[in-house]
Amino acid sequence: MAVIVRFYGALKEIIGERLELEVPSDGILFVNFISEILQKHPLLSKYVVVTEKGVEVKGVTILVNGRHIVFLGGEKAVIRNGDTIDILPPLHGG
Amino acid sequence: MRVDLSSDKIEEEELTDSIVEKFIGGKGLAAYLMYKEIKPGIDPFSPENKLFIFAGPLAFIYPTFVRTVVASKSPLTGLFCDSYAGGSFAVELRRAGYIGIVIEGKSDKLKCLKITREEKRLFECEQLRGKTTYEVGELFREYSVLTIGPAGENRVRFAGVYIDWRRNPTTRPGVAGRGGLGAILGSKNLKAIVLKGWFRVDELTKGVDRSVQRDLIDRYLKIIEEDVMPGIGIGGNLPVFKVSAEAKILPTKNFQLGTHELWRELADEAWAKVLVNRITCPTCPVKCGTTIREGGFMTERIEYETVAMNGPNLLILDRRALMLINNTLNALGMDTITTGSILAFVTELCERGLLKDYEISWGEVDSYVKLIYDTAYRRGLGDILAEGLARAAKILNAEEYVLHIKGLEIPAYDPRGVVGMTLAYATADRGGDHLRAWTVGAEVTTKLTLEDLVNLTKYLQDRNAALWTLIACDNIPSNAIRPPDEMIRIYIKMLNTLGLNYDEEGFLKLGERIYNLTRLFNVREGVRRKDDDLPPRFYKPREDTGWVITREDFEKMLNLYYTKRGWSSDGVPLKETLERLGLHDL
Repeated sequence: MAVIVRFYGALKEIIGERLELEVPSDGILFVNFISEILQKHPLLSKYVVVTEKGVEVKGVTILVNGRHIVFLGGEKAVIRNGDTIDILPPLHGG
Repeated sequence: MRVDLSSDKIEEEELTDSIVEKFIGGKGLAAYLMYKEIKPGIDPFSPENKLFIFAGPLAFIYPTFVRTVVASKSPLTGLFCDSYAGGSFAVELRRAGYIGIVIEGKSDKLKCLKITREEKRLFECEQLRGKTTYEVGELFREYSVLTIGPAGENRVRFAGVYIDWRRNPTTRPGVAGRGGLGAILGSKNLKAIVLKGWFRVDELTKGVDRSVQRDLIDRYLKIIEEDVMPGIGIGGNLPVFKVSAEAKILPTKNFQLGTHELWRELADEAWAKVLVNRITCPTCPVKCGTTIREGGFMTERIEYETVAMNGPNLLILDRRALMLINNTLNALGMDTITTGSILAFVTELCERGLLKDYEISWGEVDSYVKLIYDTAYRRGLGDILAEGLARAAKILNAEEYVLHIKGLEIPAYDPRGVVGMTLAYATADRGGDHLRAWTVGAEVTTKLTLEDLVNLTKYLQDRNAALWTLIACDNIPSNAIRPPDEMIRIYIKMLNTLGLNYDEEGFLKLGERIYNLTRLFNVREGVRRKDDDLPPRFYKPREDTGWVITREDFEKMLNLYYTKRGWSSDGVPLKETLERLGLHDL
């Protein structure tokens, strides 16, 4: 079973509603996982970037299996096949 | 100006330079005076409680600083509460030469306060008893009017304070809606303040370098035009609705779900089709005040929170129904966020068979409107609901289904999606509130660490506390397309033209000082770590997405927050923190 990534709002418009990606059987660090997505979908870099400082987000929330990624190790969280990642956009306009 | 309703005495007071330097205006002065003057443990409805109505020092002198803060010990939470409204009141207050009004005591009869160049007096106004906010505004059309509706008179614990409400208004009406401060005015028997200022700008800015002032105004207006106005959409904060619905954080069915398949009926694009006018506050070019007309219905100032909390949260997806609810609540003078939360709570109890002798189903607009009237006039079940969600839930033995923090009902962002908001809600100084730290905005870049998540909350709380001394409008920095730093630097320069000497670091420290002062007020009233907690529903996975906040994760966040704040593990500011912020002598 692959990793399922679900995008919402403006992110859905850039990438689509969901992606399914196979990762190595022993998992992959989130920083490497998101780098792969950024390579395929460079417009995502408006909201998420990977720099020498690591993964940086602008108002974006990332949940892994329903929990915020900062509680699972942040960019060093290990993503495994079968995980569901939700990426929520920032709120604008109000 | 200090107004004692017990003795009908009106006096003027000069604030010392050191207090102005330390707290500036708006929230800062209100918080300082509240801490100094409100005795711990008093009943918010007692004559001993005081209400503080303040402008900021930039009002009228620089554009957009039009907001008025109303602050008091809240009858809803029993804690510090500040609530902000647009409209013309702050500008007229400054034009009358005042930075604020302190209301104290209690009148035997219903009174109005009138402030003009010719007279400053209290007068009896029994004929205004029971009048709606619109009716009072209409009666004093030539004035800036701050008033309460029937709900405030009846001490509904979530009655608001209303500025410039009238039919076909020429300036944007404002609402200080949260925390029940309208009920404080009601408890003191003060129905309204009508005000017309008289000073010109040049009379209020003696000694200010005109060319510097002009340059700052020009630079500021350019940023507003280029960066802010494109983000305003049709006005208000309705554009947020679409993002919330798509991100599945839109409260639906008392926060049991996060979106509704018909949400587009209430999105800003749908409202834009029936928008007829946009108006603005004095001195502001933004025009965020919306007037909507659809069929025979017309409404002013419909906002995201109102639409979300009384729309999908009650399974209402009909614009006209929302307009009817908005008009009813604004006329009676009740907070739309709290009301939406309470109506959803009652409906869920009925659905679960937990409420005897009362029936209501999701989406029953007429029944909801009737219940709103019953609440405003304290009839039947409405008399219990008028006590606010927390008290009503205790009476009805149904605390499992409430969505509030420290007695203030949660606004319209489900934090199980946007987790940063959990800390923002739990540590907001007036209870479950989103405006102290709107962490879900895009303006700040953060790393994917717990430390950055916590730092963001603290930074925004401090920054907003500082901005609300001025009082800057929430619609402006928060909506900027670029980070608001440049705008804040201009604000500081504006402030310094009035003789103050702030830099960015000092300005942020000012905000931190105020945030600790409001915490001290709450600590004095008994608030501790146990109160910085979430409603039970947020600790359970949401049935549509599985999103959850575990208690362990939340506690981790709170521990780090207290450390960053310099508070004890029980949430009390440490002595060294107070010394660093110049609060130890309080």
